[in-house]
Amino acid sequence: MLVAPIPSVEEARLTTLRRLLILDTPPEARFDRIVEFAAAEFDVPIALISLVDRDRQWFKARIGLGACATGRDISFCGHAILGEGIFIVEDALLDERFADNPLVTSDPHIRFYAGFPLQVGGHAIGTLCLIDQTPRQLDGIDLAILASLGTIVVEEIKGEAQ
Amino acid sequence: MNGASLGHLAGSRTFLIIEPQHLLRHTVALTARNLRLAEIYEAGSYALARELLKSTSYSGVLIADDEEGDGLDLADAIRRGETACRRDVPLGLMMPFCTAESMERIRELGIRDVIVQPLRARTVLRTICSLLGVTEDGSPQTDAVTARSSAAAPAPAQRSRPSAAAGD
Repeated sequence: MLVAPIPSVEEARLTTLRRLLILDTPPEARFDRIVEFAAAEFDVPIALISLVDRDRQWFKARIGLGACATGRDISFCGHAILGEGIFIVEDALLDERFADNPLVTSDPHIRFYAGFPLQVGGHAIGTLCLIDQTPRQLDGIDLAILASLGTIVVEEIKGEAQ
Repeated sequence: MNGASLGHLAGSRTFLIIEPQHLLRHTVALTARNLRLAEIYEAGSYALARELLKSTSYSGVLIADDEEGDGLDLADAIRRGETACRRDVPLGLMMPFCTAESMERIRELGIRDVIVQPLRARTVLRTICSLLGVTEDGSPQTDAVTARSSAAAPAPAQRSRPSAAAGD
């Protein structure tokens, strides 16, 4: 298993995240709607708005997953926040970075992951992600829709939504 | 209510989507703009839609109907020339359900595409493409460091005969 490296801008990233005052807040319908929409749109069992904290990933909104947080060291989202584009793992069992990850080998048995990094203030604070228990592929239109939903998450976080 | 949203110019194509569900409407509009399908305008209410239709002739219009048939009434107004649009502008309809009576009215109004709820953004996008007469195109680029974990595609088969298939 490969633990995602810590970005060089981690302290600034965490400062940005903390200033949003969103960690450990109650569920909100405006975010719940987005993960519900995403799960239905892509027909996946799990969709999350994940915020990557120093040692954990915490879920502001989740569908299909009972846990409200996991360790950062086993998170796929920890990898997703390292880049600017959508991070995709089509089959985790075929990827040596994740094949022995406990989130793959046991519940929730992740096989497919697609995470859109949520960019706020120049930093990726987390992701909007889709998870399936079977291998999947996303085409260009799927990616565009996921990116749009991620953009809407950012708009909501920044308070730009109506 | 939502204001009109100007998207990236895609030739001279302008499109109006009228849908009160903000998340569906905004997702579709953002995606269509990103894919450069058209300059997309959004209206979250029939009142705002009527205002937008007074001043702009759109290349296509997609209307969400409600249980009272207000969407069909708006389509009727377009067909009667009460807006800035051409009377024969391509129209699509999103409906909660379909009845024989509504189907008759849809035929009379020359509505080209009808989709019934529940709606997926992809289905709505496909309908927009159909109304505009364009194909789905464009996609956001994934980051250079993201690595697809699926097995590499097999190398093209070596062709031993000189009459290889076209396109090789």
